This record gives sequence, structure tokens and C-alpha cells, in this order.
Amino acid sequence: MSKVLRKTLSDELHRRHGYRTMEAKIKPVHIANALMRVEHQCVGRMNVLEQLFIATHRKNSTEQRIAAVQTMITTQKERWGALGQVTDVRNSALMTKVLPLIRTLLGADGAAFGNTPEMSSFSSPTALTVTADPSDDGAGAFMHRLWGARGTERLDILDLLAELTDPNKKAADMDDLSALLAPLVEGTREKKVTSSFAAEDLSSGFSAVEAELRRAAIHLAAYERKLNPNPIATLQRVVLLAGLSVFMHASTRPHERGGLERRFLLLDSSGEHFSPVAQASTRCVAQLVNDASEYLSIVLSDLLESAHPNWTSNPLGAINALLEAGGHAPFDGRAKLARRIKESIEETNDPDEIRREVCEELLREIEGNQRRGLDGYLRMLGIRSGFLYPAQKNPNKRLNPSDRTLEVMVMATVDAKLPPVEYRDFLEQLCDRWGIVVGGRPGDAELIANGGANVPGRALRDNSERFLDRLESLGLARRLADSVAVVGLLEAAHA
Amino acid sequence: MQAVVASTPLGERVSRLIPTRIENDHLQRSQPLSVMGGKNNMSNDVREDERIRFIRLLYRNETAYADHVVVARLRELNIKTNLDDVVRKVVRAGGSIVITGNAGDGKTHAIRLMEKELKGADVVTDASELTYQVILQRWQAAREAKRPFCIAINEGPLVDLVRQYREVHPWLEEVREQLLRLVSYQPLEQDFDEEGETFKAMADTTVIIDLSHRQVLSDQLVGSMISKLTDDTWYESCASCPARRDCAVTYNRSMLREPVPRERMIKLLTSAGRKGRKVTFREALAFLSYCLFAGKSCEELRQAGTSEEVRYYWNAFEGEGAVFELLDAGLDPIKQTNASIDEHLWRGQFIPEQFVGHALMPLEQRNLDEISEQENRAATNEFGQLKRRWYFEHPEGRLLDFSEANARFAKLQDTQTPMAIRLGLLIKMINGWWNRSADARDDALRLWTKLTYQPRGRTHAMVSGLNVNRMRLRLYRPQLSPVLRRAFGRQPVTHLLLASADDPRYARLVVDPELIEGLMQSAFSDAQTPTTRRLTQFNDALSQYGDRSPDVRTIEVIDPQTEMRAAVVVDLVNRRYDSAN
Repeated sequence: MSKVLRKTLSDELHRRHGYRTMEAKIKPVHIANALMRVEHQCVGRMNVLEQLFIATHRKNSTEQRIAAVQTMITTQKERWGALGQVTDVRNSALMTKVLPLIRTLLGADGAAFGNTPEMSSFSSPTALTVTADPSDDGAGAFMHRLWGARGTERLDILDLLAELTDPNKKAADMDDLSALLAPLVEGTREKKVTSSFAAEDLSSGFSAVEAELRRAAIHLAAYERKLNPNPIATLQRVVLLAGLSVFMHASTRPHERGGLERRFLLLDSSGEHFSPVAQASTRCVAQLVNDASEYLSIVLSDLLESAHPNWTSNPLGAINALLEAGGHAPFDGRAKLARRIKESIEETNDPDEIRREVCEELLREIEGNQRRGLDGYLRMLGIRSGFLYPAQKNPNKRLNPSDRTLEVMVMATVDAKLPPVEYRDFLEQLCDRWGIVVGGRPGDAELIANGGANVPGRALRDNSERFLDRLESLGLARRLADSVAVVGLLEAAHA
Repeated sequence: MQAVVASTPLGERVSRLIPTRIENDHLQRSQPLSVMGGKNNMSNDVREDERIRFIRLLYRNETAYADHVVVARLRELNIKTNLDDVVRKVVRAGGSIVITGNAGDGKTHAIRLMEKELKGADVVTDASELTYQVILQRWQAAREAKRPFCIAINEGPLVDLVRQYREVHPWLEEVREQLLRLVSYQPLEQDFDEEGETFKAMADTTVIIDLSHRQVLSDQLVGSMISKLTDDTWYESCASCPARRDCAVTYNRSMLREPVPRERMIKLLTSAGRKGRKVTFREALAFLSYCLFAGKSCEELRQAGTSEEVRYYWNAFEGEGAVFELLDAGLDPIKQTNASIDEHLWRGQFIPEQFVGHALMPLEQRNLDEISEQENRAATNEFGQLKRRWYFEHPEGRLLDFSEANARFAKLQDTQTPMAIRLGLLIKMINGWWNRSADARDDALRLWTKLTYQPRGRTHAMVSGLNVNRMRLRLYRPQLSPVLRRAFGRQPVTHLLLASADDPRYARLVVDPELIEGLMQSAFSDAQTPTTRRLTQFNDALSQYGDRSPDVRTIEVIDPQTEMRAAVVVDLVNRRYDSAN
């Protein structure tokens, strides 16, 4: 029952936004894998990798692992050079060091599993190792569409991604990791995936949030082009921007599609778990997450309405109509869920109250203990994108970006082609683009107070100063005299 | 109520800049007078001269603000630098000048004293008294009339003004650009014009003089400030003061004019200056004023006599403000342990006559163990006083620099040593920081790559197949723009850049004692430390300069968590492995 309803709701979210959020297992590496797959329209041929997986899977017996290594060596002798010319496989460098290290590298994001690579997403920079893993739940295709895979709207960031992950890259241009992985993959096979994207969002033009996210991608690409750093550093930032963009898009659905108030997040630089700023930041995140739950209720209500107009007069009938419309059997009126719904609406005739009670009850059933809804999705993606903190099971998250996340946010906010901007202008842009406040603008206290989080002005100013310190230590800002600072891509002038 | 009545807007402003110190005169007075300082029994007829008061109030009061002081007094306080010369040259050539910086850097002071140099120019002495519109009207009019314009303005308002009006007056953009380009980098081994002799003033140009780039705690300026504040002209009235003989100011002033304590004070302040934090002229003057007066009026000083708590070597570590904070971070002799010296001082095993000030304020030798048995705190206090005095007055007094990082930083700057050797030293440290498990090379910088799409991922496994040859790298040092070099003279080097020999703009590493300390004490980890941030960014930015072979690449793979490592040789052309070890 809950599975069926979860799928129905998940399908609806996919229809609306282009990605699903009901499994809450998303990781940036899934988005990376899917983005490469959509961009290059291919997946890797992985017979050798499959053997590598068997040879390095801890659950396999030593004999199984040795047999896999021997198969690797004998079937493709030319691939292993001196590494394959061993008599004692068990103690060979290949078996004891090289293969385990490669597996560790490929599984750095914890998304490489078991004996087969097909359902894994690898921490790899090349499309040679792309798999058909669907764990991104459509987020990769969504990002590919957002960044504009349609004619002139295509952004440079996609070209950058294509260049970085090109499976046919010249040997001399390969980064070290691609060079290490290249002998393990026989090439790629075609996999057409573009036609699958048909969501309401992005179907006709871009919303305000989507337009900002596209501008962010333009700015990050300009930064990467100008800096020309290690390609893997660039790739990590591009993928991280994709993760952040999905987070921002999903977290603003309650506002843009559900008509709820726009929320602002307070970035915590206090460095203390229990500071007023940290607590206010936690409250802002909690509010965002609550809105996500409320939005799911709205979506669910819309679904019931479409299945059964004026559904609040007969909630159980509406639920059954919804199930039947999806080709599923109606649920038993004597089931626990039905009883709980009946009880919750027994004492009221108010349609709004019935709507709220029934939707909450259904969501509890659908999400289960794992909180597999939009709220859980935001928490998970936020943590894994280095946006929210702490990463542990503590449900109280606050906005405390990691260094890399902060770099992406800053360089996706300012234009690297222009001179650095003044700090206060940067804070304005940060608020406009990401809905993030730091405490350095006159209106910040009021913005977060509107959301019920009160922080003394002095604490906010200190937070802003510490934020600037952090930007400075990342090389993204420079203090001039008299409290003036600039933010952006800073050049060291050459005499 | 009294406090409210006494409060003035300016006074409030001063108080905000310098944190309020908890006055504890009672505590100070109640402490036993030192054996050297006798209690004063003079009559109460002590009057504070206006000139002495002026110097005393440089600490936490309005005489520290040039706009509240008569020009004649400013002239007396003025410390001659090349700034006047630069301003004169620019104005004579028909150029305009913007003197900017932090509050307290001495902009108003400088401009008010340059009447002669600024003759013929439209001068805005204090921009805070005018609206932006008025300033711009005058500036624009001066430009149109091809007449020099000169303005003293804090950097905040200057940037504000440019920000608000650059669209109407596009020439303001040049001011902003200059502000961002006042420091540039040049190869360390290259000779350059440190004194800015090549600076040439030109007509119709605007010159930015940002006083915040002047290193106030340099030996030259500190020496001049000490000379100025201890000069006899300020203390003429002391000659007739009945409390003169037992006044701490007399002793403090005399000592700071003696070569040894003066040199030690300069050393102390220049060491503080090397910590990188900017100190304004006002803060430096406030510090010296406090050293002389302990923030006390003549009457309060009369009561304190020559007790230890009002002597310069004690005052230097007891006030409030930027300089005191810098000294508190490891430069106070009390906090510097030297077992042998400390033992001798504690046991009274020293020759009092060796202390420069002994003739004026005699030292008593005694074994503090004897006091500590009865009064531990008194013994500790007395030891602290002695240790501080030892630093300033004893021939062997010195600041202990235990930091190997400082020594290595100095070595990197030593152009007598070939550049290749100095670069090798630094490269070896960086290679060792990334990979402690192997012998670090010094001929090439190894570049590392770690891929996790999750920024806070826990895996530390990484690969390295590229090197940047030492010959492709270079050490650079910062240099001020020619006009600032001309105005400020030689400035201490607080950091260097390690960067590509071709282009230091982006692929650069700021090298200072803090980084070297980090390289020596820590190793690569994902912790968000300043050292990790700097080295990771440099490593990534340097990738484009890595030596790439199109045929074969040896890739080192390490996993610090399992301590597993392998070097794999990959045949890139045939896409196959060659060997591994």
C-alpha cells in the first residue's frame, strides 16, 4: 500500500519537476554518473571491471578472488604487461595492492557495490566508466536539461563537462585518474537517454529560481575556464554545482509551485554548535524542511482532487480512485490506515482540516520511518553536497558549507570575467541567487526574524566577519583597509 | 550622571576603537612598592602641563585625532617621511592625490601639515565633513580646470563614493583599479628599486596613497616615534615639577632614550609587526604613550611614585589595543621560558650594575624562593617584573625565537643562497606534507589528485602522476607600487609567493611562517585547516604546468587509511599497464 502510494507520489513529482525525491538515497556521485551518461549518451563496457569487482569484494572467498584475477590475466594478457607475469597470484602486487587500491578509488563516494559494476556509480572522472545506475532518480537528466541541451540555450558548463569526461580523450591530455582507469575499460556502448525528460518544470522557459541557477552555471564555467586548474578539481566543482542546483530547485518547489513563502537560510560561521547563529541557522533549515513536507501534502491533495473532485467529502473513496487510476487494487477499508484516517476526520467537517489530516496521515504511511520524502531528500542531498552540517544522524542540520561547497557557491555567484566585487555587493548577490544570508546586510536580522529565528545584531555582524575570514583563507576574498573587502577571482599582479 | 556629562561623541568613538580596560588602581596601589621605587612624599603641587597632557592623551583620547589638534602641535609631533616629498612632486607636476587608508593611519595629520606642498591644489582635509556630491563637484571642477586635487578619505567611504558614482564619473573606476593593484609581485632574486627612486609624477594623473600599506612597526618609524615622544621639548615643565625625581615618566623617558632599551623596544615592536596584522600610526603612538605614562595623569603618577606598575617595561605589556594584543601573543618575556636565565633571575644570581637603568632605579638581588615560601604571588610578580626589565635593560636580554618556521622563512629570503637550493627546501617540505610515507624529492613538486564527489567524503586515497619541475617554479616577493615605495621606503617582507615562473597570477602559494609551521607540524588530511586549504588550491591550480608524457605515466597511488601504496606504470598509447611496485 505505502509502496504503491509512494510510487504514485514519486511519479507525480517526476512529472512535475523531472526528478524523484521519494527514495532519499541521492548522492552527488549518482548525479555525476547520470550527467555523463546523458551528455555522452553511452555507458562503459565493463567486463574487466566486473572481474575486478569479484577479485576485490571482501565477501568473496580468497579462492574466488584469485580465480577472478587469473581470469583477468589470462583473458586479456596484453592489458597487464609485467603485472600479469606472475606465478604467485595470491601474493602478487596486482592482487594485494593495485586492484584493492583501484577499487578504493572507484568507491570513494560509497556507491560501488558487490560483485557487479552495473548498478554502481563510480568516483571516476571519465565517461568510460559510466554505468546505467538509476540512483540519481532523474536528477542528472534534470540538470542536463536545466543547463540547456537545446540548441543555443546550451551553457558552456556542459561543454566543459563533455571535455573533462570525454571517453575518447587523447592519452597525453588524460588526468592521472583517467590514465589509471583507462586500461580497465574496453570502450563504451551507446545508450540513448535524452527523450526521457518531459517534466512540467523546464518545459517552457525558466522560472526565477531556474534562471538564477543557470546564471550560477555560467559564472562557475567562466571561473573554471579562467583558472584552468586540475581537471578533476573542475569536474568535482561542476558536479557539486549540479548537486546544489538540484537542492535549491527542490527546496524552492514549495515556494515556486506550492505558493508558500520564500525562505532564507542563515549561513553559520560561528564555529560553535550552540551559538545563537548556529541555532538560528538550524531553525531556518528546519523551516525549509517543514515546507518540503507541506508541499508534499499539497501535491498529494492535488492528486486526490484529480482522482476524485471534492475529495474531502470522501477521502477513502478518493484514495481508492487514485489507486485504481494507477492500475492498482483499492485498499481494504478495514486496514489500519483506513481506521486512522476515519478517526482523524471523525470530529470535523472542515474541508481544510480534513485535507490536512488525511494528507499528513498518508505521508506518514508513505514516508515510513526512513523519512523518504522531499524533506529527507533535502537533508540527504544537503549533507552530501557539503551544504548542511552535521553529517551524522542528528536531525537538526544547519547551513555550514564545506570549503569546496563554499568555493562553488562563491564562484557561481560572482563573475570571474569582471573585477572582484565588494563584499557587501557579494552578500546581496548571495542572497538573490541562493537565498542565503550571513548577517552582514542591514536587513538580514529582519529576514530571519520573519522566519522565527532571532539573533542579536552583534552576533550576526560577528558571523559576517568570520565568514569573510573564511573566504579570505580560501583565497576568495581580500581585505583592503577600513573594513573594505573584495570577493572574487583574485589575481596576484605580476611586476 | 557624571559619566554621561563627561561623555562626548568623540570620546565615545575613541572608546569604541580601544576596548575599555578595567581600571584597578586600588589593586596596583595596594601591591607592595618595589624595593627600587620609593613612595613619594612630595607636596601636592603637581600641575600637568598642556604639552605633557597632549602626549599622555595619545592613549585613548582625542589628541590622537589630528582633526582635533592645532596644526602647530601636529607639526611638533610630526615624523618626517618621504610622503611630503611625494605629495609635493605630484602636485607640482599637476597631478591629483587621494590619501586613504584606515582610520588612524595619519591621513588628516599628513594633509594638514602639507599646506606648502599643496599650494595651488584644491584640498579636502577631511572628507567626512562633506557630502559625496560636494566632494565630486570639487573633484570634477579641479579635473576640468586641470588643477591638482587632494583629498584625505578613509578607504570605506572612498570605495562607497566610487561605487555610487562610477557610472556618472567613469574616471572613478581608475581609482578603484589602482586600489586593487597597489601590491604586485616580482621574482625574489631580481633587483628592484626598493626606495621608489624611479617614481615619476605626471600631470593629469591621480595618485593613490594608501597609508594602510605602510608598515608602521618598522625599525625606522618606531625609532622615530620613540625619539619624538621622549623628546625634551614635551617635558620642559618637568624641570620645575617637585615630583620629578621620583616620577616614573622621568625614568621611562630616560630609558627609552638609552641605546639598549630603545633598541630592544624597536626589536619588540618590529617583531610584532612581522606577524602581519596592520597597526595604525595612532595605535603605535598610543602604545608608546602608555609605555611612558601608564595612562595616568601627573597627579596619579605622583601617587604611584616609581612603583613597578608604572615603569615602561611593565606598561609595554599591560595596556589595551592592537599593539598590546600582538605582544600578548607570545612576545611578552614573561611568557618566554628560558630555563637558565629564568633560574638565575629567580635566585637573584645577576649583576645589578649590568642593567642599564640600575643607576636610576636600583635593582635588589634576592632569592625569590625565600619570598615564595610566604607569599607565592608576590614572588611571581617580582619575577615577572625582573624578566621584563631584563629583556629591555640587560646586555643579554633578547626575545627568544624558538620557531624553526621563522628561521626557514628567513632562509627562503636569503638571496645569498642559490634559488635552486631554497626552492628545493620548500618543495621537499611540500612533498613531505602530501606523502609522509616516501622520501620527499626536492627537484620537482609532485601533484596529487583525489576524487570524491562528496565534499566531506571520508576516503583519503589519491593518485599522483604529474610533477612540476623546480625550474618551472619561482619565489616572488610583494612590492608596493612605485609611489608607495617612494613614500614609505623599504618595507619588511611578511610573505612570499611560490608560483609558476611564467605567471604567478592564479597558480600561487602564499608562503609565510604560518604555512611553514603547518608543513612541519602536520600532514595531508581533509581537515579544513588553513594549511590544507592553501596547499590543495595551489596543487590544483598548478596542474597545467605539470610535465606530461604522451606515452607512459608512472602513477603513485596511496591510501593513508590502509597505508597501502603502489606505483603503477601505465602505457597510455596502448592503454595497458606495464608494471607496478
